Amino acid sequence: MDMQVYIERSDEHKTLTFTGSVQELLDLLEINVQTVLVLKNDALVTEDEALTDTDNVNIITVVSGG
Amino acid sequence: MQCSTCNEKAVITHPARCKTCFIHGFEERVWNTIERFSLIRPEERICVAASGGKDSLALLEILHTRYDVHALCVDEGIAGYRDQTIDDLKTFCEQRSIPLKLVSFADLGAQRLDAQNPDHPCSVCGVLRRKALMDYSQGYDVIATGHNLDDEAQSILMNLLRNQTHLLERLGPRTPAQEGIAARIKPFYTTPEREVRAYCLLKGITTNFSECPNVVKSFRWKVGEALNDMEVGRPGAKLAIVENFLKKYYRPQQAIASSQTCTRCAGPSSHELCRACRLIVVNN
Repeated sequence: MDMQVYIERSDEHKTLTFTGSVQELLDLLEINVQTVLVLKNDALVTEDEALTDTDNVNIITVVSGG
Repeated sequence: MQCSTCNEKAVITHPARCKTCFIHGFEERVWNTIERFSLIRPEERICVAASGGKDSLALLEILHTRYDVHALCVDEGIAGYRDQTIDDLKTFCEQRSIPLKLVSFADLGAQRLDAQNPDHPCSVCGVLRRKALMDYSQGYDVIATGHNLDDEAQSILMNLLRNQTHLLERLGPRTPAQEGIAARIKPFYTTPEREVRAYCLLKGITTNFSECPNVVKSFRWKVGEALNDMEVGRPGAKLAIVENFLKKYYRPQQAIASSQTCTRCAGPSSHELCRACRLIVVNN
């Protein structure tokens, strides 16, 4: 089973084979942590949270503009 | 990672906080900011400039627990973006019994932002929104806006990069009232934008959190990206910029002097016509 990742800013769904931390996933996707929050299975998590292939990950954007 | 206050599982870092401690700390920082800068004085009538985005909804959520606030929304006319945030704002205000007033660029005599199709939409939008807030906040003592730490650090840096240090005096957590114009206050002055989004998420405040389609065209966007890169390597960089600005430039009691008034609207202006009226005249 692969990890399901949704990136809000680009409205993009990805299926990844990935095991590592939230920060490592953001590094892989070249996303600055300052610009997003990360939900693991609908719960807000910190950058050191471990992710596995069974997780649903939602990367939501912080910047919205006026 | 554990919460550094109660040892529950943390949901956010710098500092590490669980959901309960984060929400409490977030709201405390807003009250502390209001107190530190004397943003709201006794008996002042408060109007919140509300777009229906995350910043203004979070601000209304907090302020309405202690103050009798009214919301004022300016519809710029950005198809596919503002319509939805206005619907969210109406629902939000109805649920909390917050009176809401809705005005549009048409009320100023200007065209929708879409119809103007300007080269620099954020500049035009900003000028006309300020004008609408100024005109329709008569009867209030202060206009509270959702400007956050990121917005302020960006504004300071933008003025420095443009060599416009004389404009820095217009920034700060409280801009004094001028004749006929309410004071402007920023209770999120030291609150990072990322935390505002987290607060909305954890409080169950739902709205359209999508970006304004015009935002990526702006100089502000580029400066914001540079600041976010800097913040990763040097946590606290944005706050350091703002605190240094406060020490060197902020003069809270000093009203901004305008050399003359606009001949069209009688608002403050350094030219015969203010920037908003120049835009309205040109586009008509």
